[in-house]
Amino acid sequence: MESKFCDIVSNLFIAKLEKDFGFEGIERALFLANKIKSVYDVIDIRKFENIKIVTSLEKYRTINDKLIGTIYELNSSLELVTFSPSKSIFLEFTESGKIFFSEDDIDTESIKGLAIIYEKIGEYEYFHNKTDKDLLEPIAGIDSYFAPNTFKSLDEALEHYKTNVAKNTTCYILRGIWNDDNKIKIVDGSSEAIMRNSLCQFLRHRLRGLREVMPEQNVNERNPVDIKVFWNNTKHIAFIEIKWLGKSISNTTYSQRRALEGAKQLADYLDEYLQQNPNVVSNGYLVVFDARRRKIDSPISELTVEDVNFYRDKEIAYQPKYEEQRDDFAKPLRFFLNANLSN
Amino acid sequence: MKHFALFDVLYLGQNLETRIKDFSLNEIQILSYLGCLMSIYDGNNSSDWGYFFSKNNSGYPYSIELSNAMELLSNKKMIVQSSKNNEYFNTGATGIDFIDKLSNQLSIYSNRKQYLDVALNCITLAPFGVIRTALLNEPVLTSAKRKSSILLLEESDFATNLLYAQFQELRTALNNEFESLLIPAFTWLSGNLNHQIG
Amino acid sequence: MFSFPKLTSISINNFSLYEKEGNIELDFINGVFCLAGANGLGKSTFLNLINYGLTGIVIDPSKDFTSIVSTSKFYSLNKKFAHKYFDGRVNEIDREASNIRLTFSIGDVNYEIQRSLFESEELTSYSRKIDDIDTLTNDLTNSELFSSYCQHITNDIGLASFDQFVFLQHFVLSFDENHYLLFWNNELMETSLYLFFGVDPNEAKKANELRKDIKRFGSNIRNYVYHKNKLIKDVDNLKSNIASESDLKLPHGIQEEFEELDLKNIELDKDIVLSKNKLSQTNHKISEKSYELSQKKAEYQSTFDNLFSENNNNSFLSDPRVITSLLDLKKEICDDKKTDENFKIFYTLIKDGFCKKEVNKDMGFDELKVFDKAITELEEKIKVEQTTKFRIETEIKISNNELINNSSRIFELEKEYGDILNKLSELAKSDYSGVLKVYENQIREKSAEIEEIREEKANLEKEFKKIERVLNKGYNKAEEDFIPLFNKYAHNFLGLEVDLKLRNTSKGSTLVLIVEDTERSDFFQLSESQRYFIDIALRMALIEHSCNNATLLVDTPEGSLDIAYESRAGKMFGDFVDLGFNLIMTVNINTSQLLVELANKCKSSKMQLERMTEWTHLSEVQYQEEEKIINAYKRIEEILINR
Repeated sequence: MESKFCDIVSNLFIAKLEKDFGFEGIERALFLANKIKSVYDVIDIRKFENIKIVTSLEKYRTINDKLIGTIYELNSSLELVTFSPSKSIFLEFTESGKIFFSEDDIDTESIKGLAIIYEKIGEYEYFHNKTDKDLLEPIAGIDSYFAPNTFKSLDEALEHYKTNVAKNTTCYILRGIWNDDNKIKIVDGSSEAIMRNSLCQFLRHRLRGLREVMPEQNVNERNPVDIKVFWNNTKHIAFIEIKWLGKSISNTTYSQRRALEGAKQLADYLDEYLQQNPNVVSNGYLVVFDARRRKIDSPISELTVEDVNFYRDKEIAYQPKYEEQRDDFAKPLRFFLNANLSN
Repeated sequence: MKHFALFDVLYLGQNLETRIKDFSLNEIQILSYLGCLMSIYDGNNSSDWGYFFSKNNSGYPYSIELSNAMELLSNKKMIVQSSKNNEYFNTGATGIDFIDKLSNQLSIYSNRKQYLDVALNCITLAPFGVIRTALLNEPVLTSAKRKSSILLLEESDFATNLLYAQFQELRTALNNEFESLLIPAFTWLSGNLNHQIG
Repeated sequence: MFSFPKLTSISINNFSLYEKEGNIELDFINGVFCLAGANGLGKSTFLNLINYGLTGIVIDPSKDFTSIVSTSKFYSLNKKFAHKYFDGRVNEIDREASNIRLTFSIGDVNYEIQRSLFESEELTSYSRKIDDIDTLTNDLTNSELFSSYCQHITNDIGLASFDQFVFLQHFVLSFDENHYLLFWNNELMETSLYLFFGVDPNEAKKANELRKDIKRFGSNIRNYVYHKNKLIKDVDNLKSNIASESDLKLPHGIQEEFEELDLKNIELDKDIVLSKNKLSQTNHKISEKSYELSQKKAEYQSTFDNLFSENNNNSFLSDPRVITSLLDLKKEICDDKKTDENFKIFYTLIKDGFCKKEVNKDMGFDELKVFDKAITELEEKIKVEQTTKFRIETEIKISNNELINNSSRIFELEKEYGDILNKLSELAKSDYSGVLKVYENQIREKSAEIEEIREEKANLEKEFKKIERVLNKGYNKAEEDFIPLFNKYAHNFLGLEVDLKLRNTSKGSTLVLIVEDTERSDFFQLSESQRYFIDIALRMALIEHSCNNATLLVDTPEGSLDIAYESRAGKMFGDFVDLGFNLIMTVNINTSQLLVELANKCKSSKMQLERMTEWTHLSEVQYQEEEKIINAYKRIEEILINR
């Protein structure tokens, strides 16, 4: 009986590392992992299309002498990397503390059996083994296995979600809301559940001090809350309500008014909840996925960049501004979802 | 015994803060629980770990020894709050000194260090939140959520047997091919998350 | 408590071996009498003479006494040997006149006996006096004198029969050139134990009888079984004839296979018992060490706690003295009184009682390291023992399996044999069937007889076990006193931690020696000298435990003693003498650190040195070395005289 574990092991990158490079290989990979983290601490991970970070298998050797390209040694600071305009970067870290850097697209074939090689191509991360490269299976809600990724506060987390996940739909779960690659219209039916799921996964993986993220199944006007967040050390509960704006394939249109309605529903809900549970500290968050486009019904070939970006900066004017009236209501967040006209 | 809990708090805390800047009690509980499970996978008894975990309503593993140890260390200023938020801590100078001595001069901890290291290395190679989510899905913890307060990992509990069965399945699948405990750790965690990690 | 003879004088007349001196007259002081000479001068003979004088017996060295089970048998077997012994040592001329006279006391009773060297069951003179009053009636023949002597001495010592005395005198109170060792000689050991550990000598006598009977039954059973087997074999042959005539092949070699398997099983049984012993030792060690380990772990934790303890403010604030002092201050302040006094008191109270002393962190930590090391070592040791345990358990399992396999094969054979028997008797061959029947009847009868005897033997064994239990009880009581005694001697000699255990085996009870936690139950696990001196130590301990008085005769086996042990042995002897017992020993003059040590300890008030070279003519070689010999004597004599 083939257990699920067999499948997992056969795809596990550290298993391949140990197979190819032995126990030493794992040790070196751990060393490299810490270095990758230090790099991602100081760079904007989305800036680069290709990132290669390597270290020699033999602890005290350097490996870049075997590579072709302009490679120079850094004086222990990664500043040059942070501000590098290049689309691809290469870094070698040695056990003795040296850092080598290049802005060329370095071909690492020649050192394949001699080094631990980490590569990030676009969104995908790999560790090379002797013959091939292993994909680190992408996980919803995180940018990289090695990027700093936890937030202590929900506000921080939601901000990050807005710019890093929603904006360009970088979450593979969230991608399910789109009808097509152009990201113009939203599918019918499960789009709300998808958004909920995407946000849930994100929060689950990225909130520190988190006790539980509970998605709601029955969302309606009386109970508009999509996600409940519970913390370990406080009695706070966060209620997140999700609304989307834009048009679905079946022509369901949600406009700004929907957002305002949502705000009211949330406020009412908070009141009722507070009545029934007076000793709980609650916080309400209204999160709006904004997929509005101008001339949204036109055929795609006719749409311009201005059209799709028309609503990008159009903030919603809420009346009343609940966040000013009450202290359990956070400023509503709008996640504008970019379209894709590259074809 | 209590000194094991104290050691774990300091050791995990110090290593956590180099990875995620600071640490909280819950994170220590998670990692030490993971370490304990790895120790069981490796053939030890749950009682060999030195202290017990019990269930609490959060679905997290909880050991009162760890909690007490943190309090004691905090009183002694061996760990200090990292900010106004009193939930997160950093190790203090005396704490670093102490864990250094315990870790390097005594052999009574060398066995558990290898399991704590596995837990820590899991979060070197994968995001902490992912590891946490995966761990909270394991059978003993998920079963405990449905029951009233009990000790985790009791031999007579059917959930414990489920866990042991999982480990046995894992051992069979791995077939002794790997030396590093990281491989069973990641494999098992992936299994519980139902999503490949790594 | 027994009172054995305390020798006061000896007189050896017309003993040709000691011709130079002619008649030897010696008085024994309280303490050590040491007859020092060179090899071949007749030192052992001296001791044999004393024993002969007391018992009328010289042990026949050609007989193996390890198979003797009763003291009476021992006596009867050796009665005749004395003649032969002295035959070689006394000239024809001296034969008539040669005799030995001994005086000794048992408590208040003073004995004087004289006997010829060639009449072992007669005394030529006998006197028994209490406070100078003669207790004997006159006009007894020499043999009557002897039997009366036997009775008296037995009663005075406290034994139940004369042959018990003979046994003890020769095997426990003497250590001679034949070197019969008690420890590794189960029968001797057991008999001595019975006598010494407070088992009623009559009961001991009974035990002897029982043992004899059990043995006899045992050999009877063996006889009968032999006959039965012979009959079976005859039947077997008969049947093979029938079989060959009737085309029924009786497989040959059944009997051989049967016997071989039986033997193997006996061996396996033995192995299993040995292994089980070792296993329980190992288990004991494991549980001891585990207990130690848990203690160490607890100590580690409490040392750890100490590093963290402190006077917290709670105990300060709730201390009654603090409260009282504060209240006093409050009163004074509110009443506007002067507070200097009370402040001073308060200050002193805090300063002396509640100011934290800086815990020396490093010291505490070093303590932790000590426990840490101990814990690691203990865990290692336990691991080793677990491995041993596992190995032994496996061995036992294997042996058991083999045993079972063998037994089932035996059963198979028996079945098979029975089968063929049935088949053959079905044949109704008139020539043979009648004969067969007769044989079969005989076999049946013999089997029944064997069973009867087996039952009787079992009953006897039950009774015997009862007495053995009494012995064990007596031993238990004696254990408190006896073991430390023995340990004292053995420790003085071996310098090792020793312990004794009483073990009941199928052969009887025996003492097992444990040195440094390992059983030395095997003869070959100690060196020769160690064995001899452990045995002497055992005798000394037995004597010290159970006797008011005694004289121990020792033919010193020095030639075989390591130098390291020589002075220890001297100390051992010295301690023994200090207790008031006497020692008559023979030594070789030219080696002995033992003598030096003993002389130092006893001095002339407690030790006599007799130059044996005066007694007989020296050999050629010995003459050449005479000066050396004389110097050796002088050396010891000087030690005796000097303070």
